[in-house]
Amino acid sequence: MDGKRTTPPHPNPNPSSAALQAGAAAAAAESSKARMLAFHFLRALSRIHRVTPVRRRTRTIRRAAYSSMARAAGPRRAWSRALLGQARARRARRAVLVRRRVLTAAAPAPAAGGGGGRFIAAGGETSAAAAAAASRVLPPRQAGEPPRADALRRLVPGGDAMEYCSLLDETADYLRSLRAQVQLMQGLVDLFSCQ
Amino acid sequence: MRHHTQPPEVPGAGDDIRDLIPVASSASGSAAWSSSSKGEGGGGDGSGGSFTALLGLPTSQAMELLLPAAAPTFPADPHLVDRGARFSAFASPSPSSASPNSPPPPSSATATAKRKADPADRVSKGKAAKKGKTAAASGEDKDWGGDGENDKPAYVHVRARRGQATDSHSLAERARREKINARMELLKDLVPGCSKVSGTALVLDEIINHVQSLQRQVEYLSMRLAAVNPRVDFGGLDNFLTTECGRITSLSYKNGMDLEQVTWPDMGVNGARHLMQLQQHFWHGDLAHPLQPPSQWEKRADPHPPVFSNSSSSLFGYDLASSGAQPQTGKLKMEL
Repeated sequence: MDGKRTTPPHPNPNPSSAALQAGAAAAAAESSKARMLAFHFLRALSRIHRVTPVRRRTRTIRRAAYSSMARAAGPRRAWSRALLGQARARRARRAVLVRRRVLTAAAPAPAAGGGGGRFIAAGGETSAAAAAAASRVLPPRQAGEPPRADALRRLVPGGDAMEYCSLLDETADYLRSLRAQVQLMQGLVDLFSCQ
Repeated sequence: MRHHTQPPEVPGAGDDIRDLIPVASSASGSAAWSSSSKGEGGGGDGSGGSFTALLGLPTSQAMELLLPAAAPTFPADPHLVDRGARFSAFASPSPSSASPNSPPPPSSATATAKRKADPADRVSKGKAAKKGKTAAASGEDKDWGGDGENDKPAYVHVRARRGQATDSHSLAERARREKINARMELLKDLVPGCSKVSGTALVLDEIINHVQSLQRQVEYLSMRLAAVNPRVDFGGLDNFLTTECGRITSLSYKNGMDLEQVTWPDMGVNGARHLMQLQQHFWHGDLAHPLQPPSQWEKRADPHPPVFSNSSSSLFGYDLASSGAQPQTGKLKMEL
């Protein structure tokens, strides 16, 4: 990320627009990638606060943080693709569960076809994910790689199927994005809890 | 070991040396000369082509053939060139072997391992031993056809150090190790407090700890965000984000323009509207749908895009600062 800065918004005596400015400042961070991050995350956050019940918010917000991180990073990175693939699989699985619950509750025949189709698709995705997880057992062509690398593989999303060299690359990018995300969230928490 | 044909003078003896070349060629026979000429014709770079002919020639003739190609590029010190010739085509592990009898097997000739296309860069620095090595190797590469890596325009130059094996496997290994070390350096810069740690295992431990701590921070912050005061009205934020930031992000995608010059002015009640006018003043191009680029990437991944509440109430429905505390907007100057 480049080191340029926006001029910091001077505090406005008008309290009603202070929040606007703060949100705008949060969105107008230095680089375009940070802006994308703020944009996606704030949007997701607003939706979550509207929709999700209080009980499951933490989990959902965490997932939203990772998703927005992945979206801001773009599809060129392996870890962002892996993250979004996980999110999609999770959604598909949830849809399957919902559908199955509906089916077992009251079994209308026409719904069975759609549910079955959805189930097969999700089953394909989850089995692919399971296969990817199982393939971790066989280490992918690493020569002089230290034994600690598999812990790193577990941490970085999508790290199982990578070579050691690209794993290091992805880790660096993942670290940068994580740091940006943490800074964004910290700023938001400070903003929202300063009264 | 020097032949009598070695010119006794120092550098500017190019003419004498070139005179010697036909002698050498005639001495060595037509086969070597033809192959060398083919090699030199085949070499398109500044190095003067392949040195395959050198493989079959004795040292002195190899050196002489090396010289005219080297003369324009090398500093043309015959002693150094001689040493280079001695080292060049004979890529055995012991560089001191001056006997050219057995040219190295094709394994060393195909010592591809990604050489730079013109060794002329390398010529000006370093010893002639290395120069000879790189020049010869690139020449060999070109002639032997190498692997597919020859055709790549950008080579990762692997400097084969003196005394190190130069067969393709070890060179590739070395290239890989250097790549890995470069990446580790990057990581060490990213992770704070890692530069003083030496040794790969400890650095890896540090990196893992750092990633774990960041992930835990995300978890903790998401918990705090979940517990944010529900009086915060996010409805207006939706509207603001879609119009303003969507436009901004899409434009930053399109133009790659620096948006730092868009300063966020003091916003009164009509702040949002002012901002929109400001932006339309900056970019009078016909704007695509503001959400287009982000949503393209998003639609692929998110089949259920969030529904935007089309609340007409702008952000000023915020109850945020109703308690009157001063929000610290300066804190949001984020460093990225």
